[in-house]
Amino acid sequence: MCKKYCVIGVFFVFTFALTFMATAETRDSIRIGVVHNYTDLSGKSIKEAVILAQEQIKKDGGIFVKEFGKKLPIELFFANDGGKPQTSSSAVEKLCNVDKIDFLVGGNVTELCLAQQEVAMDYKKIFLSGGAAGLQLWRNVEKNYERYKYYFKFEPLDSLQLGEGMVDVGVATAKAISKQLNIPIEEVKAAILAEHADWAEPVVPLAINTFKKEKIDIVYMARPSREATDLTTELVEATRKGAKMLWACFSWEAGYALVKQIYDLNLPVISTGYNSVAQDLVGYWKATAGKGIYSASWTFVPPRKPLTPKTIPFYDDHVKRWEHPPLTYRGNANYNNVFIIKEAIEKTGTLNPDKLVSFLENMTYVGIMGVNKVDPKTHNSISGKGYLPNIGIQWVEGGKQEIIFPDYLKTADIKLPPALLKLKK
Amino acid sequence: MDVIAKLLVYSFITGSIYCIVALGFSLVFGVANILNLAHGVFYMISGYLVYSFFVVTQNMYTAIPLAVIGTTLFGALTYFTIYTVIDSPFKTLLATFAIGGAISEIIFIVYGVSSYGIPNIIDGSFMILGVPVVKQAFLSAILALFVLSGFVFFLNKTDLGRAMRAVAQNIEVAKLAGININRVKFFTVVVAAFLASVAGVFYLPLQSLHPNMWMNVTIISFVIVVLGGMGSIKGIIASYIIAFSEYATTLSFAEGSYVKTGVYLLIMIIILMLRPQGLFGKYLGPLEVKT
Repeated sequence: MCKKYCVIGVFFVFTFALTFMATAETRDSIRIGVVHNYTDLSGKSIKEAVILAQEQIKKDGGIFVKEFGKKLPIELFFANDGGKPQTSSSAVEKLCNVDKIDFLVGGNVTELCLAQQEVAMDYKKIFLSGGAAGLQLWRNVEKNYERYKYYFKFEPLDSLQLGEGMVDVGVATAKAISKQLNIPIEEVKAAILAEHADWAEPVVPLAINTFKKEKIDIVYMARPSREATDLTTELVEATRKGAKMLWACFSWEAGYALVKQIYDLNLPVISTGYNSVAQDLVGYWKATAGKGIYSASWTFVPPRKPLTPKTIPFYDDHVKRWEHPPLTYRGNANYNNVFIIKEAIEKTGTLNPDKLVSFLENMTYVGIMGVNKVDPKTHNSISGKGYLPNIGIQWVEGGKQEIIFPDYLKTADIKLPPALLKLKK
Repeated sequence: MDVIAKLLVYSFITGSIYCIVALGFSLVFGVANILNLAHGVFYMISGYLVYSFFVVTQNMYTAIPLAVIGTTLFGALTYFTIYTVIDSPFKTLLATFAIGGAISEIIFIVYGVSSYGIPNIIDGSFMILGVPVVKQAFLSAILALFVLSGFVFFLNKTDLGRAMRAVAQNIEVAKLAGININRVKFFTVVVAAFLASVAGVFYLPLQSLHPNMWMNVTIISFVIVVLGGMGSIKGIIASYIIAFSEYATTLSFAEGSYVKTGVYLLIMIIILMLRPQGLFGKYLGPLEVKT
């Protein structure tokens, strides 16, 4: 009888111990999900940058979490959204459900990021997106704070903010044309070629209004697909109508067709504004077989210039680790995101998302491109002097990139293509 | 007048390229009864091969023939891959789609996600009817028409060409006439790869190489073949209709270049409603439903 009770007692003690062990939170790592389309260049760029961040944090022994009383390494979980709506939210579902992530970074293409935002909010995961620029993402936070408060965008700028940068680069180009061709600004004439995408919608009216204010006549506008491979008709029509400046707004492969076809057709026009592929310090020259010369673009990929104390070390570390400079701005944005998570955890001492939200809302972080800070009501990045800068670059002879905007960072003046210079009065 | 000239010139150039790409697709469907969803891969692979051979030899005149040969051999390999399921149209459809996806993934692994550019054989541009035309694009169009003429000659004047036509018209009668059906099917797939590679090596220098590009080429080929008439060689004239509709839509309004794909798909639907067999296809009668 006694033996029987002893066995039952041992069984209960054992079961209780097991249950206790299972419920007590044990932590070996901080799990960060990285969602993106890994079949394009920006995906490669993000992967490289977050792995670099992970390795650097590992070298320091990890992230100190006060509530666990120890330093924890970062574990990265990559989920490919394939760049398609049908797989974008399921990729995040998998990260939250299967990989049990603590934080989410990445997210590109606003249309997909919106779907990912919904899933992340369902699971109350802090989501620091570092790619999509559409306004709806932060407007969701503004409209329904309780649900969307876990979403933050420290970088990049949103459509309107980066649109200002792209338009500024356009205005600087128009002024250079006017000066170098010896013509009044009214004769410069611009054509707008903007891809049909959510992020570009607020940028186009901004460009139209600013150009009008600057007395730059808009003679042609086209809205091609971001995957267009032939822009001949649009380019020829734009120059036929007298455009000397082609203000582009391209975040995808169509940017290659744009610069190659301007070169091949020897059109008297210079492309400026934003051509995502022209940011690529490594592949652009190769992909255009050198025809991308004279193309100017707004950029958010860090040049090897001391924009902040972290810019040159990041650039050099990236080159050392991956044998090439950062490829797209999604890389530096998400590298920053990992370190922002680190700082937030170390300062608050917790992984509790609600406690972290209030810290992140008031946090000021010196990043790669400038100072990262969000508006506490919208969780959207703050731009302007003292925060994140807008930079314009131009590709010149020998496959080099020169900074043409703003004046305080400028390394060269804008060079006009020979076909355009022939119009000099 | 200027707009009409632009429409005519650019439609001619792009339409001619579409012609030889779609011809291969049509041929494979008409003769081998294979709806080859990996057809765009032939076009894409020729571009990657010419790029690779150019990197090695630094000579486009060496790289181009090597790329055409390489793509043609790849066509042969494709045939052997789907050979075991060739008698089942549905399985063939799936197999070719799988090949397309697999090749695209392999290219991702080998070349990475970056885009690549191929140098032109001839640089510069000139005017036709007052419209600026890239010399390389014009050369591609002329070569495409030259290859097309050669192919028509091959179909009409050679034993293999006549055998292809016979198989396309009636496979049972062709068998009775002693034609080796499998051999004909094999050559058809190889010829399709050859035609697509010719288009690729000359036209792709105007664009950039990316591992996802094959799908668009397949879709355009498919639309042309459906519009022109499944399996109809004459039907590839629809290439010019598609090219014309693309440029006309682009020039009509700002969003034109975005919706041009939708416009030609709409044209395809309208034509199919009015003429289900396509513009040049034969009407095969109502579908028989077996009970």
